[in-house]
Amino acid sequence: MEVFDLRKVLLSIMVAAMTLGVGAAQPVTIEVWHSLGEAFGAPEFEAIANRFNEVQDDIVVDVVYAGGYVDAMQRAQAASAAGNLPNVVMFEQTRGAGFVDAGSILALNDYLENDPEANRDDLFERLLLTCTYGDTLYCLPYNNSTPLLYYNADAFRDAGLDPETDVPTTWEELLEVGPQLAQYDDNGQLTRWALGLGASPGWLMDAFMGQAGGRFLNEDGSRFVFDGPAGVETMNYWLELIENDIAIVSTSQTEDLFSGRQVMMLQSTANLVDYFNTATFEIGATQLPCHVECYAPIGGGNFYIMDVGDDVKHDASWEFMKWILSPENGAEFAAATGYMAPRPSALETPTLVAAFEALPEARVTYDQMASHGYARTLVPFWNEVHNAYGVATEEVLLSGIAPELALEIAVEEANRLLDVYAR
Amino acid sequence: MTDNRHAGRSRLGASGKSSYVKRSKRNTAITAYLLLLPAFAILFTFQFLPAFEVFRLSMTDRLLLRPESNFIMFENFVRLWNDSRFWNSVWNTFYFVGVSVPIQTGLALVFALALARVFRGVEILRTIFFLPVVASLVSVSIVWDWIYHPRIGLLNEVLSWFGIEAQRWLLDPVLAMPSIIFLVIWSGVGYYMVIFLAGVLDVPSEYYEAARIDGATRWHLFRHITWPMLGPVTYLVLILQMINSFQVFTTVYVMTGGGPVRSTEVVVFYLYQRAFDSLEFGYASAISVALFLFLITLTIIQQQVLGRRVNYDR
Repeated sequence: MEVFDLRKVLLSIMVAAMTLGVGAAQPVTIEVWHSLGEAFGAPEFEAIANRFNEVQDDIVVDVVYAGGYVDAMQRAQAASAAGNLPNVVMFEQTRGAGFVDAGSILALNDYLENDPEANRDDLFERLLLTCTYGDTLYCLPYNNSTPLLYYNADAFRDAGLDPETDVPTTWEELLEVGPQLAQYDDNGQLTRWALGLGASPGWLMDAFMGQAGGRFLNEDGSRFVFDGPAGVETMNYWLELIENDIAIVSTSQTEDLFSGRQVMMLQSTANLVDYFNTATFEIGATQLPCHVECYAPIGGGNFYIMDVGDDVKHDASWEFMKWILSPENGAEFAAATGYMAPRPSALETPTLVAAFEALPEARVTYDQMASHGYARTLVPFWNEVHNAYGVATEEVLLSGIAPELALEIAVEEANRLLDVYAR
Repeated sequence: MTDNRHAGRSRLGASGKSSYVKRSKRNTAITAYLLLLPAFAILFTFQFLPAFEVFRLSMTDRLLLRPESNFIMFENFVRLWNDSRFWNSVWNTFYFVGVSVPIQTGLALVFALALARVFRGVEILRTIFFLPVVASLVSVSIVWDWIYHPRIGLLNEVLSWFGIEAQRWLLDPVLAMPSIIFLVIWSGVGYYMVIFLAGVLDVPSEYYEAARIDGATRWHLFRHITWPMLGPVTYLVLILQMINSFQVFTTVYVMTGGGPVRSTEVVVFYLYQRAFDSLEFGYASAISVALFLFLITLTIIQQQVLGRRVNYDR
C-alpha cells in the first residue's frame, strides 16, 4: 500500500460527505429509543411511529429499540456521559429519575399547558403523577400498567370454590381460600399451591406495603421509612403465606401458572392479551387484594424528551409525543398489549370499545389505576434501593432473619444514598 | 516484510543514491506508523485512557449522571476499608477462586493427559470437552439456570433417581456459590485442557522412550518427565485462571444477581452495582483500583514464587 493512495481515499471520502450534506437539509430528524419487546407492543409502536413519518414531511423519526428497561437505561447513562443522548427516550417508571436529577430532561409543563392540541385535561391524572417531580412534569405516560391478580378459574372449581365469589379480594380472604387450593402428593409434597412469591419482590413490595398502609418515603420525601410497621407486616404476611402452604418462593411462576400448579399470580396487565391467548384453562384477571387500603403501583414506561439539541428538535419531539398519545394511536397500542392508554377519551374509541367487549378483563387495570393507582418512588438511585429491599426479602424468606432487622439494614443504605444525592 | 522489500528494491535499482534510500526508509516508517495508528488509537481511547481515568475518578465523589464532582483524596479508600459489603465480596471472591482454580486446573490436566493418547474417536472427545468454551457464557448461564431450577430442573430430577432430596441450588445461600463454581468449571475446563494438551503433545517422545528403557513406571513418567516439562504451561494456566477468576462476573450477573442474601456477590459484581445501581462512580472506581493493585501484586508474587521454579530447559 503506497502512502499516496491514502490521499485519494481521503479526498473521495470528503467529496462523498459533501454530497451527502447537500442532500440532507430540510426535515428535522429525531432519534427515539424504546424498550418494548416483541410481545409487548414493539411492532405496534413501530407501525405508529412509521405512520407519523408518512403523514407529514417536516419531521423524520428514527425509532431504535434500545434493549429492555435496564439495558436502555444503561445505554442512556453511557450516552449521557458521552454527551450524545437521543431526543426521546422511554424509561421505566423508576429509571428516569437519575436523568431528571442530572438535568438531562426537558420540562414539559410549558408544552402541555400552552399547546391546545395537547389536551391537558384528557390525560389520566394519576398517570401524570408518575412523571411529576415536585411541580415539574418531565415525561408523558405511555405504556403504563398495574399488577393484576390472574387466576385459574378451573382450579377454583376443582377445589370446590366459585371463581365468581371466592377469588380473594383481601389479605384475609387469601389466608382463608389459599389452603383450600393446595394439593399434595402421597409423600406430602406440595403439588399445587395458590400463589407464587418472587425472592425479589420488585413493585409488589410497593403493592403489599401500600395495602398495609405504608410507603417507601415519609410524607415530605426526606427519609426512607419502609422498615416501619407496614413493611414489617408485609414480610410477616409473606411468611404466613409460605408457612400455610398458600405461597411458595418461586422463579418459575409463569410456567407453573400455565401448567396448573400455581393457581393465582400477581403480574402486570401488560401480559394480559398474551396470557389470555396462552392459557389452556379458563383464566381470569381481577384487581389486587386490599388490606388496610387498596393500593396498586403504576409500572411500565414513559417517554421523556431529552434536553439535547435546539428548540427545533424539542418541538419536533413534542409533535411526535402528541402523535403517539392521540386517542386513536393510544387505543391501538393499548388494545394490542394490555397497557393503559393514557387518555380517558381513548377508552371511547371504537378500537378499545371493541377490545373491552372481546376481553372485559382489559378494563380492570383502568379501574384499579383510576381509584388507587400510585406512582412509584422517584429517586435517582432507585436501583440500589430495589436491590436493598430485595436482599432484605431474601434474608427474611430464605434465611429466616427477622423482618425488622433485614428492613432496617435496607433502609439504612437507602437513606445513606439520599444523603449522598442531597449534596 | 515491507521493510525488506523496500530495502531490497533500493539496493538493486539505485546503487549510490543514498538520499533515495533515506527517503524510502522514512516513507517505510511513516507507512508503518500509519498502519499502527488505527489499532493504537482504538487501544488508547478505549483501554488506556479509561484505565488512567479510573485512577483519577477513584479520588472523586463522582456520581455517574452528575458531571460535577469534588476531589476527595483517599476518602473512597477509607470507606472501602470499613465497608463490610466489600469485605463480604472479597471473601466470596476468594471462596470462588480458592475452589474453582485448583479443581479446574486439576481436571484440565487430567483430561489433557487422557486425551493426549491416540485412540479411536479422540478428536470427537476433544471437541466435546471444548464445546462449552465456544458457547456464549450468557446463554450457558441461562440454560444452567433451568438445570438448577428447584422443582422442574434437570439436576434435581437426576438426583431424585438416587433418592437425593431436591435442593434449591441458586436459591440457597449455602449452595448458590458451589453451583456457580460447578458451572464455571464445566464451561471453562475445556479451554485450559487445550492449553495443557498442547503442552503434553509437545513433550519429545525420546524422553519417555529413554525412561522406559530404564524401567520407569507410568507414574514415574508423569512425575519426572511430563509434569516438569509442563512447567511453563502450568504456570501460564495458573496466571490466566487467577486473573480470570478474580474478575468473575457474567455468571453471577445472569444467574444470581449476587444473591441470595449476597452469597454470590463477588468483587466485580459489587463494583458493578456501585457503578450502575447507586451510580457512585467514584467509589466504584476505587474498588476497581483496589482490585487492580491486588491483581498486580498477586501476579508479581506468582512470578516470584512459581515463576522461578518453572523449568524452561529442554
